[in-house]
Amino acid sequence: MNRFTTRTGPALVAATALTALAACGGGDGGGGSSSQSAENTVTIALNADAAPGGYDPLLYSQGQFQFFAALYDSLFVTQPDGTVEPSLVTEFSNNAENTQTTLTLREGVTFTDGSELDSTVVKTNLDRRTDPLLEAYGSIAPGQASEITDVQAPDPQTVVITWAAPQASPENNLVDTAGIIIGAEGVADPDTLETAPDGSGAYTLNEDETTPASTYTLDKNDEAWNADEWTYESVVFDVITDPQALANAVVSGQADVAATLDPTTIDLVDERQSTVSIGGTTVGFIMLDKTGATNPAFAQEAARLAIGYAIDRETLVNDLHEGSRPTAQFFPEDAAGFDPALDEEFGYDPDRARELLAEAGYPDGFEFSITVLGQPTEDQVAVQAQLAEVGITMNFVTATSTDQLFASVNTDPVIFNPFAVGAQPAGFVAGVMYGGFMNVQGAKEPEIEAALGGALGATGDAQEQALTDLNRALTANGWVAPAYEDFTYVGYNADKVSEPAFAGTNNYFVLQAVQPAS
Amino acid sequence: MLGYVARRLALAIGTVFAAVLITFLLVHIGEGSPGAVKAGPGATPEQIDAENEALGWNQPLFVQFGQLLGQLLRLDLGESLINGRDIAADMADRVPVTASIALLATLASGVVGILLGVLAAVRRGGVAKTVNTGAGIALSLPAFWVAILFVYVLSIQLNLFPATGYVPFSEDPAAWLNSLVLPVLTLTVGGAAIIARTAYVGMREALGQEHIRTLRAVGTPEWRIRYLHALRFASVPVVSVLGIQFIALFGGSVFVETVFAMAGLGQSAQSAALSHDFPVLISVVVVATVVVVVTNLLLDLLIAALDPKVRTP
Repeated sequence: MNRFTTRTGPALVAATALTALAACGGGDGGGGSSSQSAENTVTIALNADAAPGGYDPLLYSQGQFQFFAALYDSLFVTQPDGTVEPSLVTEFSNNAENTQTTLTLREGVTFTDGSELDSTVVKTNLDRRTDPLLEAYGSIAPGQASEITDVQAPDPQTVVITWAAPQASPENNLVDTAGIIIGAEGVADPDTLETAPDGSGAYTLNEDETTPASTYTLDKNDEAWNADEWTYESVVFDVITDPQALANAVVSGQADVAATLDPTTIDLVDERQSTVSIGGTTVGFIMLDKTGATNPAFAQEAARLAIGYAIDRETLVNDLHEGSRPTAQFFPEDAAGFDPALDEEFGYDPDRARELLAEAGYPDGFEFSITVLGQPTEDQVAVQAQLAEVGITMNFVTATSTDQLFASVNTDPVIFNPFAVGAQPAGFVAGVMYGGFMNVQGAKEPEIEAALGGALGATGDAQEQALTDLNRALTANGWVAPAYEDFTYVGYNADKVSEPAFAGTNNYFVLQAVQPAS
Repeated sequence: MLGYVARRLALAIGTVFAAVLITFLLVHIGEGSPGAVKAGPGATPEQIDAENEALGWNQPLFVQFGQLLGQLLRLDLGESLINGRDIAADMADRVPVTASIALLATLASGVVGILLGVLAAVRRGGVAKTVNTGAGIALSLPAFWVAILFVYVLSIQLNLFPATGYVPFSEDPAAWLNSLVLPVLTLTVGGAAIIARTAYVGMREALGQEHIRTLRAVGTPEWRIRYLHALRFASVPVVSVLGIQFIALFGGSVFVETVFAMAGLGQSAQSAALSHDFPVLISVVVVATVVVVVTNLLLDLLIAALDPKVRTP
């Protein structure tokens, strides 16, 4: 045997074998997943099991609508531009006080169990709102901000919903997952939804090609009322919990869309494919106490502002939150009222923090406590160290139950959490920050009140200016001290699909809007 | 040989029984209950107790164990507490994934390892040093790093193989093989290194045996001495190690299934443990134990066939 054959032969054989194997599987990484495929199939990789407890969509939050939208229809759906459009409803009206909503239901809608959409089915669905396990009904449940007190079905196509209090836009409470309607059999016995969905959506579950917690294959139901509005013949959801594998799936072509990407993998996906992102979640301090009732230092605006100036947001983002945006203001970048100048004006400035502490009568700093469930987060520990640099001591009190954590809003001066103000920031401020649990002492601030009035009462440019004023007032009066805005990243193969569109300001995409690349 | 087979079979059945019993007891000793899982996070103690009652969890342990054994004998694994799916159907989907990975990785490790080990033993000198050093390096490489390297080079850079996913053999045999290349390569790096070293030592010992010298003295062709007589002698430890590797790969596939996003037994075991899905957890353990025991049984029989001394009671 000559030297060439002896030494390079095995390598050549191995290389040839690998190449042959690759050739066997075809291009694009050789096909990879069972779901990868035909032109009329879209494969979506998700970083969490879309249906961990079965196919009862009401058990899940709004974000799961990107999965359930194919199997179920909703009374209203959020469009990519953020508007709310009727879906199972053809017409609707609200009374003058916005306390009663009348829906006219679509005709010719059939569920998987063979039953037809009518007002009784809708009423039976909405009457499940007393079940505390149904996360989708969180806001319309008894005692909640958008409580429904009564649902009537005067005729088969009409539903009348009565709200406990006037609602700014009642239909917004019945959108996406919260407005999903389950068929008569499924809603009568929700246990059956553990193994099979009962929806009227444009797709049905292909049980033979579905392995719960791993792969869900949905095939188009050509009989569905809205089948023509959906592009693909099949939608495949692959559950990929490993962040790197999720990114690899879209990079190497096994998935057309991958959500939600881990920030550490964004560069890889951007380099090979494409990403799209949406912000909207602001993480940081909200001052619960502005009166000094729980801690005298918090009655001083200067002391509250010092906290904001002491946060080194750039370092926090670089060290812990790649892909996030440092921010000193409460409103997200895409929200009306966002003002880039605030980030500069109220950004990290430890010297200014010390000046303000002295001005507030605390030249050596002050001490406060916040309640955490279990261990404090990395963010909280990092911010604790940053506050210590200017003399502010933040202690952690460990809660042993969620009840104890929730109760701490009455005893803690401040809370450090993520907050999503949503499409209506003025509503959030009015209902939660000024008139809700984030202001239990009922602190008053004329500047905030005036801006809030303008934001809620005005329209157009006047409303936008009022929102800008409100955003500034919240920051300048030390009612908030945000650290960064968190973004949701979705990867996609631009050669195969169009850019996924998010549902308005929500951090989930509109499944129906995923189209083949043009 | 028949007596030997009967003894091994009895031992295998006893092992499965013991594994089922231990798993059953561990599940009952641990915290939580299936009723709590079934009733959901906001359930009251009364609701949990009612669910446990309905599931038979409150019955005496021996009654529950008897029911479990009866179920297993009827090949009825029950239903998942989380998604209500028939566990046997779920296992039927998942076992081929894990088995494909474990089987192909074992085969590839065997082929590559034996080739390298025999080559090193026959050539000795520089070749032996190279093979042994290479095996040492391969063994020291963390599997997750190897996986990332293969994905980056062969999938992301060269786009030769899929980085994630599994295609069933019945759907497309070529795509099935293609989908398994990267996980199998990942596991073969370390596996082949172990086999190469085992084969090298075994062949060196075999080639030094008296009967090999005798065969040379009587003029038996060298290839026959090496690849028939010596290799047969050396194959006993190699087969043992291969068997152990298959068992380890089958039972410890969580890592590779996670990195390559494959819906196998490891992934199921992981999610069942995290969600306290007791019936699924027990089923995964039972299925894995049966596979391990059957593999061991086949291994013992194969070794007995290769080495008659083993058959002696």
